[in-house]
Amino acid sequence: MKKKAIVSLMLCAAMVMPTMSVQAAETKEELKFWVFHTDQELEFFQECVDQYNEEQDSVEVVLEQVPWDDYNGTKMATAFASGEGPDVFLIAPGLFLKYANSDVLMPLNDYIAPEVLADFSESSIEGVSVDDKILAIPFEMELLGLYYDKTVFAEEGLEVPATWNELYETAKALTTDSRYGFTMETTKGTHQLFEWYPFLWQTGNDVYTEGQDAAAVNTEGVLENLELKRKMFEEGYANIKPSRPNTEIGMLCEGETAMQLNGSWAISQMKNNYADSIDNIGVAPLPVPEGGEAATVAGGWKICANANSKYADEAAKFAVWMFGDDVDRTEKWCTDIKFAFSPRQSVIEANEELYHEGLNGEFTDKILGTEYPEMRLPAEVSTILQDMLQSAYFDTGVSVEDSVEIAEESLNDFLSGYDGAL
Amino acid sequence: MISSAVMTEHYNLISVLAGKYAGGRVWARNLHQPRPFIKGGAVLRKKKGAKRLTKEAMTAYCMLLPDVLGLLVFVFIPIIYAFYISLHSWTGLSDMKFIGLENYVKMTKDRMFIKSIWITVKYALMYVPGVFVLALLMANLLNALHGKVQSFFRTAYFLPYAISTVIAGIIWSFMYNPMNGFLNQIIVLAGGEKMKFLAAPSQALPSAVVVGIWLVLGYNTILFLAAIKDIPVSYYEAAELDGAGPVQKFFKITVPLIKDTSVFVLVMCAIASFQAFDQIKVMTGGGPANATTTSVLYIYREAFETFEMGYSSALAFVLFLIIMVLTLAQMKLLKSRDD
Repeated sequence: MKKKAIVSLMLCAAMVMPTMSVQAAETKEELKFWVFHTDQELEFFQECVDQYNEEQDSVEVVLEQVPWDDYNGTKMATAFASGEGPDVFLIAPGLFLKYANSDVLMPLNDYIAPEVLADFSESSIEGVSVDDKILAIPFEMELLGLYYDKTVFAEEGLEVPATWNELYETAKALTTDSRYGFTMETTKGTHQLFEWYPFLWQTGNDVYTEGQDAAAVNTEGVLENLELKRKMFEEGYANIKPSRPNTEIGMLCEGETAMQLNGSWAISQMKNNYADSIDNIGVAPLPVPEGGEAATVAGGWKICANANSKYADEAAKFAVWMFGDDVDRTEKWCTDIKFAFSPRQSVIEANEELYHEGLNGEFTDKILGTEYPEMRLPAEVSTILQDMLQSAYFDTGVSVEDSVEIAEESLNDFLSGYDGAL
Repeated sequence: MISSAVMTEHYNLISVLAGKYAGGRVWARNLHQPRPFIKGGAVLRKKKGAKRLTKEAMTAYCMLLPDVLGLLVFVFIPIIYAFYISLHSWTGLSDMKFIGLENYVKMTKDRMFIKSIWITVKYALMYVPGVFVLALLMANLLNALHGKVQSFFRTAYFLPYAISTVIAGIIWSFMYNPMNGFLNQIIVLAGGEKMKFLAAPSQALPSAVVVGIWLVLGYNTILFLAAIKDIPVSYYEAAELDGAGPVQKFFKITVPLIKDTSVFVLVMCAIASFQAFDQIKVMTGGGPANATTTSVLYIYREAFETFEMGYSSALAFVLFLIIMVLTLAQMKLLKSRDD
């Protein structure tokens, strides 16, 4: 009987011991870090998280992969609404102000060393600052270019278009029964707007006047650009219903189109999925209006910490450790894991060769230097502009002039009652 | 919140059925109560009967409890909470700020919301009659078939209902492709001109309606078929003896006798059309130029793209009221005609 009791006691102890050790491990604060990436990009984040967890003992960072649609849709919004938002997450300029104006982003000034801050380009830090508070850390810079099918151009004996009118003529010449001349984003959304910014800047205009107190979209340049695009859609030279989002270079590689607006991220896409056709693809600066200035847009995700998190301080430390500290991680991300320009000068300097080979070189030599940072618009302004583009591109019975005029009026209405950051 | 009307319907149906069941049992037992000849015995039996009654009622309530709880947690509380949120300015990121009925006032000036309601109404006006007429027609055609042939076609028509709306949306997007889609290839072969379908603001909504109808046609056909099969053959035989033709038989016998199913199909289709979302989001994302932005899609955008949780709750609450009023009106209208 005694023996039995001892054995039972030992068994109980054996069952309890692991629980105790788990409990001991659980006392570490847990930081949730949300990303939407997959494959080698997700592996990169996991490696970084593992390294951070090894390097320090105060917190345990847990990486969570959220599918792209949820990241930009319901999951992120409902998580924050229910107080279950991630401690560290990634943010795009399109939603930056919404988070910044709600005081969700933790100021990171005190966590970044001055010498590291000096390595970032000025415009990249401006894009993530409100009232001198740095609210996120940029870790990549994606530029937009005009990709084209070299074989098709050679067959037709055509030059890559340099102006808007040439774009129209070339698209017309390259359109066949089974191929569009030109493809850009047609679905309403922030990406369509992202693709439109350069064409606005090329005309020397911006969304607001210089004092940011009134709208400035109703200009001749904007009208000319939108008229041209509507014409291309109506006459069938521009792809009115792309088979997939225009962030995918596959449409060009598979022959759905002869030219495509796309970002520098497409180079990695081609290397991974269309290695056979990469030599057949070229990239050029975006066409400009007659006498206009070259311009492209620099987008890219930023990392930030949740100011409302129970562990906001630890979250800020981790976010800064990821991309606002040692340059190695930023360098690996931009040069090894994917191809992107870096907001940090030292990365570009240390990788001269990589940034000058193949299509990378085309971006570095011909497009880099003409970029403006992607605008961080309030969601309401973004929606007004998205509606303007939709109504201008598609024949809805509303003229391009009226579409722009309606947008200008709505923007002014909004600005008159808005007191948040711009 | 969005599906609350459907949920309410579902729970009502269950509650009614459960109530009928319990009531039916009580009534049946009462019928078989022996008549109490002796006073004392009568009291005794009455007491026993009352006890049994309470016990049965308790059983019925216990069976209803999960549904009532479900109704409370998933329908009533969210509706009340949505109304509470709708009285606030809230991005979901910051604290709620009480603003009274401001969101409801804003709605009256929101051109896009008014447009989205109009688009939804147009969708419903194409979708509801489309499903109703085609399903009834198909059910009659199927009823004329027999044995394995009928089973084959019944299964074939039902299949789309088993496909996820998202997958169906993607497949149809390929078929609708303006340059080399399947449908345009047929049109060109037949000597016609290519159509833009989902890429043209004027064609996008009808194109989306077709997919919506295609998805639920089989299900509604089965409902009608079951109702038609319930009609005794002798009615038709009698009508034939009286010299009624097929058209007369259809309108004088079939249509009146499948009335309950017709009401069910019409009400459910009307509710579904006001909740159209999935396949439209996949196929057009509400475009081109907002031509397919239905109310639910607009509410979704306001909530999860613009982060206007307070405003979108107000929009959702108004949509809920619209659906409720429409459903009640529809049921009353169809019921009164029956009476």
